[in-house]
Amino acid sequence: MNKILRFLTFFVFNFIVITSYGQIKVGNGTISGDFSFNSMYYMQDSLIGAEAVDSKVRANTWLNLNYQNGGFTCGARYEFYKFPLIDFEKINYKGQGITNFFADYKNDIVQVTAGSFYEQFGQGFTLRAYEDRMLGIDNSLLGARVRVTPYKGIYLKGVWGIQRNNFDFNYMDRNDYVRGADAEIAFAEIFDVIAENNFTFTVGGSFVSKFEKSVDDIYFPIQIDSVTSGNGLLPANKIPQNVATWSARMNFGWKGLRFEGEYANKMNDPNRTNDYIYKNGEALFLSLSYSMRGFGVTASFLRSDNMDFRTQREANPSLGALAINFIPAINRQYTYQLIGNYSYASQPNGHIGFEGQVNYKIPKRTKIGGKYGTDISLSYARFHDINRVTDPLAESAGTEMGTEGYTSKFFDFGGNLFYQDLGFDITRRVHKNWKVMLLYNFLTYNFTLQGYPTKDMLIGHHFGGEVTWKFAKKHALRLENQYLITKQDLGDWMYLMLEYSFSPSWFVTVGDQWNFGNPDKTMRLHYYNAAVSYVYKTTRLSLSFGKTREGILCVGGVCRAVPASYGVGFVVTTKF
Amino acid sequence: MKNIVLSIIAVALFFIGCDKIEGPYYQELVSEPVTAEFPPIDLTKVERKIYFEEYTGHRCPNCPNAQAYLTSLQPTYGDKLITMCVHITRTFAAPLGDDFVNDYRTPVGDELAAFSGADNSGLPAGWANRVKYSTEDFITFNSWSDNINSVDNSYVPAAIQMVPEVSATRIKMNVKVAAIENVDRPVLFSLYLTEDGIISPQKTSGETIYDYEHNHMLRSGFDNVKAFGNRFSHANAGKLLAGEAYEFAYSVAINEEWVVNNCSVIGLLVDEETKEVIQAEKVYLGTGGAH
Repeated sequence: MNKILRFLTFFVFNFIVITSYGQIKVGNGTISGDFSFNSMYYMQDSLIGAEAVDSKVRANTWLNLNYQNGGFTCGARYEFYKFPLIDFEKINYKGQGITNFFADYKNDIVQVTAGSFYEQFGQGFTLRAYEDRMLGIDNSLLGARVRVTPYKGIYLKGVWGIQRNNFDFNYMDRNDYVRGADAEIAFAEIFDVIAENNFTFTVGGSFVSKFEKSVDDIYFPIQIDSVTSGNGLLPANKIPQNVATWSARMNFGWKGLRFEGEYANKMNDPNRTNDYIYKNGEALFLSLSYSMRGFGVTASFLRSDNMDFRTQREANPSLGALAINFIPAINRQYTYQLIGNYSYASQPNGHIGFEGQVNYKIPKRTKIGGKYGTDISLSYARFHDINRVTDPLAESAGTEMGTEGYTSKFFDFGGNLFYQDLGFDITRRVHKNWKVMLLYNFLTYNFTLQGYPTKDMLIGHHFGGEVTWKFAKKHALRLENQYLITKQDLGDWMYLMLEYSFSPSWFVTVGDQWNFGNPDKTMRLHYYNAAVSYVYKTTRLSLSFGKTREGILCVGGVCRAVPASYGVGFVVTTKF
Repeated sequence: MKNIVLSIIAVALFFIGCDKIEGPYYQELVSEPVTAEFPPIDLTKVERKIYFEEYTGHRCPNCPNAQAYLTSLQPTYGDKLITMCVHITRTFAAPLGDDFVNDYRTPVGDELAAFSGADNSGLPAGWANRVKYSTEDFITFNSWSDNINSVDNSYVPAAIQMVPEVSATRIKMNVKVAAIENVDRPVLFSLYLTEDGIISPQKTSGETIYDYEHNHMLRSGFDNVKAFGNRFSHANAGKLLAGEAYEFAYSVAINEEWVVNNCSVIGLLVDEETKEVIQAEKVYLGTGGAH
């Protein structure tokens, strides 16, 4: 272990020195890439639930290297997650190796890729092969991709590949793969008259199918009658090996007005996440927005039903790997610490809801807007479970397994409220060196979203304020203060953070989350943090110390659990 | 433009591959009512029995030697060794000409062969308790005794009791599985009907023996029982809890070609994932059978 650490330390610092010189020319081509070393020394704190870690020093490390020469690009990524940060170990993102390699050629008409690639069709309802390093998700495909533009405004894509499953490189033994095609026609690019009149109009559609060999029968308990129980058997030949999804989408715009929508359907796909039911899945996204100078309004609707689509029907949904598609969360995304722990997690197998948001900038040099103008924003989001009526056969068998499962009227909201957020914020520069922001959220959060359906729903008031003071050229202080007032879960919280920045190189922050309203007085704990960051050109070094509370981390509606931790962190990132 | 649209549709259809499954999707594996009494047994005296699955065919020239070898082992093991002969493959077991008019292949036997690989390995082939070992040993019958001896006799997870009830049209088997140890993985129970004393031609390396006596021949599975068996521990996801007993019954319609008095029923306790046989039992329906 010590040898590995010495090697990594040596490697990191030499790499920074080399890469600080920027892109490297090789003949007519260039080599570029990026590197990240994110490490932590873990200490135990039984009060906050930070467990003793067997290997105390852990790190997530990766290096991307790309070579480009004209239309040709090739590249590879090496990841060293042999002893990863504990968050990643818990989701099984652990191992090491060359996880990504590709060669790509592109000209005006065609782009071909062999090897690892990422791709998204439309909103991602049918396919979203993507990565999110924070979440530990990499759903890239290993195979081939073709993009063709036969005529301006017409875009065709085809993909064929095996999906990455963390560090399991045993591709030859895999019995599953994904294939798909997407087409999009942008009429404004084909017919000039459309663009000349400020219109845009795009239609598209995609088909994605996965194959997974069906070998094993699946047994499950059923109720034969009121007193007799027995076994149900899903024979292997009744489990579909080829599962398809398709979607149709459109996008219409006129000046500041924009309407977009996508509908997707998934054929019978009994799997672990839907309890092996056979009904088709559906998803619908609609969005209407209007924007003009200083004013914007959006309204969105989303419904998804039985749309969790994975390469392997037995894939564990809590681990994040092997998801083929993506059902986004359309609610407003926040970066604030206290409500971040109650972020909405998208529910591909059943949710319905809407979001609306109005942004307005009160003009500057007006009585209300002040000298610099004032930004205000009001938003509301509400999501419910879908309304379900259990299939009669499922009712009598005592299980939905091996049946159609349920029926659901498309636009009916279920009685189970998942999430509600009424948010308001106002930002105003009160002086050329002072900027103030205030915000409020009324939050309703159902712990079903974290897998605890019987836990009391959280009803909370979140107040926040932020003051930025630029006290000298390149020097600024930012003070952030938040309160979450609630009677549920862990009670009230307070967060205070002060950040000093000396542009463009130094950032120093100290902060504390305090659970001052915990019903158990002995658990009114502080989660303090301090960090120093230094930025040199494209390289960033950061040293931190403190405690992280147990919770969740969400990006775009995809969430993972975050265990409590305590220790010293050191991060190096660089691009070249 | 028309060509482009047609191309898009063609590409899409190429990729769309989809299996539309028609319902009903699941089968109810419902045990019949248990209608027999099981005599009390002393669980401390239960022994591990060994099941040997032999793949053969009436047109397999080397198979009689393998059968003779197995028969020679029987006195050593007595009732502890339970043999079942499964006729498989078109090459070695399909009817041919005037001599080999019978077809002793069965759907359940074909499933067992597909799992073992015997349908591609050459015959004779066989294995004890379906524990995988080398392909060479699988098809070299002289080494089968090593395979049989490798079974861990100290592992006795359960006792099997089987009480038959034979009517004019059906054979019903009442089964009781008493768990002696916890089995922390799902297990299945399978039932096979075998027949002894079938006089029918058998090819050998030199000639065809027209009055060859076929013993332990697999004739059929039981109705509603899968080839590798059904789960029976409903409340515990197929796993067994020490001290618990599970009772169930299945039956099969009598085929007029069978001589019921020469038939036996083999019951196997099977690891659902590996298909390893972890306990076995055999019951004669007549006055006794071949050894």
